[in-house]
Amino acid sequence: MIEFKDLTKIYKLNKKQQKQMKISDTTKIAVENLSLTANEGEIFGLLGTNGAGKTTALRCLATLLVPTRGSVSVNGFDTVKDAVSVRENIGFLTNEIKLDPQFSPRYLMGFFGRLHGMNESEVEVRREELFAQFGITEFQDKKIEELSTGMKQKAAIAVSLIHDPKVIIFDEPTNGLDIITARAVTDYLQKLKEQGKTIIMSTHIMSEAEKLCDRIAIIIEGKLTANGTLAEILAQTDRSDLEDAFFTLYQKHGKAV
Amino acid sequence: MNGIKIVFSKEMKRVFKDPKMIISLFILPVLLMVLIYGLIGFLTKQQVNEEEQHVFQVAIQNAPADLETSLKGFLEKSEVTWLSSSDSTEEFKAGIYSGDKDLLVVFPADFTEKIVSYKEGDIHPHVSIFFNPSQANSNNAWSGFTVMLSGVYEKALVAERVGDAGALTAFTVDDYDNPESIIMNEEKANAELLSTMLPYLITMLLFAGTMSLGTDSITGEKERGTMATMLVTPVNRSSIVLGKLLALTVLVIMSAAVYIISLSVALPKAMAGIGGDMSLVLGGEQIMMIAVIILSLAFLYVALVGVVSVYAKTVKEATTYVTPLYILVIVAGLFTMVSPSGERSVYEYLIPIYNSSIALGEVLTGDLTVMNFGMVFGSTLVIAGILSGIISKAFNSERVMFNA
Repeated sequence: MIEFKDLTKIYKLNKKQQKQMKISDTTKIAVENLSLTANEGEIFGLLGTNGAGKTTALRCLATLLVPTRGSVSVNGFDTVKDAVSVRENIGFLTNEIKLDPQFSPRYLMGFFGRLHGMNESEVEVRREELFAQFGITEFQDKKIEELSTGMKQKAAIAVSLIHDPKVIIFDEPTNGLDIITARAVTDYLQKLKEQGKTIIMSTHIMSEAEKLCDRIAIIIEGKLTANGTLAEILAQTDRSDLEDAFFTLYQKHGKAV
Repeated sequence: MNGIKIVFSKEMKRVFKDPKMIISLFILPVLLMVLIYGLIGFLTKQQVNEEEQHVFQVAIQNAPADLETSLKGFLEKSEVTWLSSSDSTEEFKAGIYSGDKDLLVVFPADFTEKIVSYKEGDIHPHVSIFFNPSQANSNNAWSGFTVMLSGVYEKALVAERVGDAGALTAFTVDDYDNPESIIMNEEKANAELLSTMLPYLITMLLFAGTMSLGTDSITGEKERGTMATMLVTPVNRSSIVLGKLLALTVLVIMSAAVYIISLSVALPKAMAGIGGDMSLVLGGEQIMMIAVIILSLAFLYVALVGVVSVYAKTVKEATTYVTPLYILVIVAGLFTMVSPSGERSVYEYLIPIYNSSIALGEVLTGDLTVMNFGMVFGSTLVIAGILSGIISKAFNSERVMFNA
């Protein structure tokens, strides 16, 4: 289970960043008072525009960032006080996190498996399973730098799941994937959900969120504007599909385009 | 501990899987050393041979009749133009200026009369010598001629004047190259020469290897986004740091070892070209001390570059910040070349980098005491440890690792 309790993350800006963003403020609120829960056996979707705060929230969850206020916990472990325990339980994937281009998917699976405390035979079994699931076997020994974007994404997903984590944090997992592979990923997420895993993912693809997510949170400019099942959000916004619901919320809470 | 081993193994593999890294760390140094020092030896030998075979181009104006006999040894190696007082010397002087001619000697026209008729109080006749000190052959001609002129010809003239050549000498002194006068430990003499050069080269080469490896291993990983994948694993951040630093230290030492072995093969060959001898035999204790000093220095360098790299946002930025450190290292090494050997104050063995450099020199000459060795090793390790702690702390900072 994942729990965000009044998570607020404020970044301090240096002069260069202020100039780039064309603001005079020395701080930027990336996420403000975010509270939500993702349960076991559930796929929870985070929707929002670029810069809304989704990645910040997920990074706080993954222990890469420290909340300014509030807290985040994974299966009862606080991300600040019990960071190591949290990392034992999570698999994390985001576009900004890359795999070492010098190595092959086969080697990297082994490397990260060992970092998660797996022995060689455990790594081997899990590796074969994930290779088969994502069709990585044919390029398992090629260097990451030699792979296409889709192949890299598949390898990154497989690496993040090598240790069979209980909680999965995916930031746009189907980004760059062809339709066949994207379906393989979403099918696998369904399978993981049936196994009782807690999955939280961000996406821009509304149809994906509609089909996949049990519950959805919509973040606009760092604030939570909707949180519930698809039906609840549609009812809240009086719309018939998620895309329209999103735009309604954006017009209400977002800055003018 | 396991985390350290896993990260260490990956860092080593990362370098050995990259042909470019292997070439720049292990093959290029060998080629460079062999080429550079081979060339130095060849060119130096060529220059020495040229000087030895050179026939001095000498002009002598108003030469006394008995000069040729007295200066036979020098004149046999020269092509002499005999000038009378009516001959112009300007053309020959122009030749000396351009480097085509070596020496012009002008005796006054009345030289012999003044020598013969000398009485107490008379002004001595003056012999003018024209040469070009910027030209090696002209320089050699000057020193060869003046030694014979004063040491042989003048002595002969004075001996004629006083009647008893023995009266010119009050006592004799051993010659510089009298073998019976020389009490020298030849090995130590060779070591003295090596002790001024090798420490400087070793400290510089060690840092050169660290620069590119260190910036890529830390800043490069941050920039590529591959660092974050490790930071979300349950491995302790300080284990990641130590694994990286230890791997870098080993790689730097391996690279330096290749440099040193290449140097120890190429340098003596270069010196042999000029008749020098760089042979040196080291005892087991000396080798151990050198190995330990190099190990601690490599770790210090890795930690130093690591601190810079972890705070830099890009590899380019890291390289910009590391370059002044390289200059500091060169300066520290140069200081040991020019600083006087002998008794040193205690604090010199505590100044990082400089202390390792002087310790390396003193190991070669057999002058390094156990206490001073301990001070050098200990202080280097302490500073490296502190820097490693700073890097670990930085690895836990989101601002440093993710520019957040």
